[in-house]
Amino acid sequence: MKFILLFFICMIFSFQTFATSNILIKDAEIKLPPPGMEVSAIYLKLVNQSKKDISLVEVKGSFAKKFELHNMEMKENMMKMRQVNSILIKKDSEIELKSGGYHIMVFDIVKKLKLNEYYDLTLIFDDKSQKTIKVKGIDGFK
Amino acid sequence: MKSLFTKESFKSFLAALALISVLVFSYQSRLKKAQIDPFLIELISPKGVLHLNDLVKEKITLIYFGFLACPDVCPTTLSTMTSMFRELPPEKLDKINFIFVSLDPERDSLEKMKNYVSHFHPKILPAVVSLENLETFTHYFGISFIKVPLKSQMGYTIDHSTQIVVLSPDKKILTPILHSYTKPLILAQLNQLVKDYFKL
Repeated sequence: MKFILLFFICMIFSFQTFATSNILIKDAEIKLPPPGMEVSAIYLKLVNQSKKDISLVEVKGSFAKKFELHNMEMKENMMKMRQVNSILIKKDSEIELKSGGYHIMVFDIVKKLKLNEYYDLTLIFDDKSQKTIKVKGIDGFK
Repeated sequence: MKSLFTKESFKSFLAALALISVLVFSYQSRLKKAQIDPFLIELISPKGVLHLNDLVKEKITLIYFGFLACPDVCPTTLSTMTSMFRELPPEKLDKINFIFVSLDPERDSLEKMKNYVSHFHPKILPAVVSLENLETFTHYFGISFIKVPLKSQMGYTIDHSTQIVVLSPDKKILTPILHSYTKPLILAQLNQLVKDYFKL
């Protein structure tokens, strides 16, 4: 009986932690890199449903050794890519990480990524919350 | 009266002479660099050493400059061009060259380039130009590139122009294909070029 009670208490708490993550993540995709390349980019949508600004500060996953936040800018046909420390998602708004803008750079991919398969990715925010999502392998370069 | 050539003035004269000779020398060497004909610069490709001088003959030549650690713009361009080449009929496609030149010859070996482009259309010819010649080569075609050190895992990135250079069979630089162009626009441009130059 005690155990069942404990189980339910745990359930309630785990649901609560899940609910406190104020960022909704949609359409997460990773472009399968061309042969020989262990670098790729992840694109997704981040929706901030809370009443305060939240920033994405770190990304982790087991299919690659390193994940970084980058931004790409195009000025007079010149492409510039820079690493950024965080990506701000303003309160009650949404930001899209997409080709030509903010994206998650993936280095040293250790797993052979496959089309339409899903890979775990953990996003960590500056309010100490984190969320693990599934990223879909897409052939963006065919 | 003091002599016009004191020890001091002689020293300054020597210094000025040295400075002038350095300037003349650097100007001459720059002139020499500028005199390298970009059409004769060696393009190291899987087909051996090639020169634009030969490649441009009887063809419209497209040149795209990028690097393999580029996660977005470069593979997107190659993928867009792949789909263009799939849409063109063989007789038109035969009149087009596409060369993919690395802006990162320090990291991109020919072997890596070859492996990379195998994912795209066989029309795409990978080429490596030595770092020494790369500046003259890109400068002639209006392509800028800057190696930028990053704290990132990448070590450095390369900011670069993203347009595809278009050359006529008589070595004229034509209107480039911009990264922002849509597929129908690029296809129309290619069709027009083949029509203008080869009546196809």
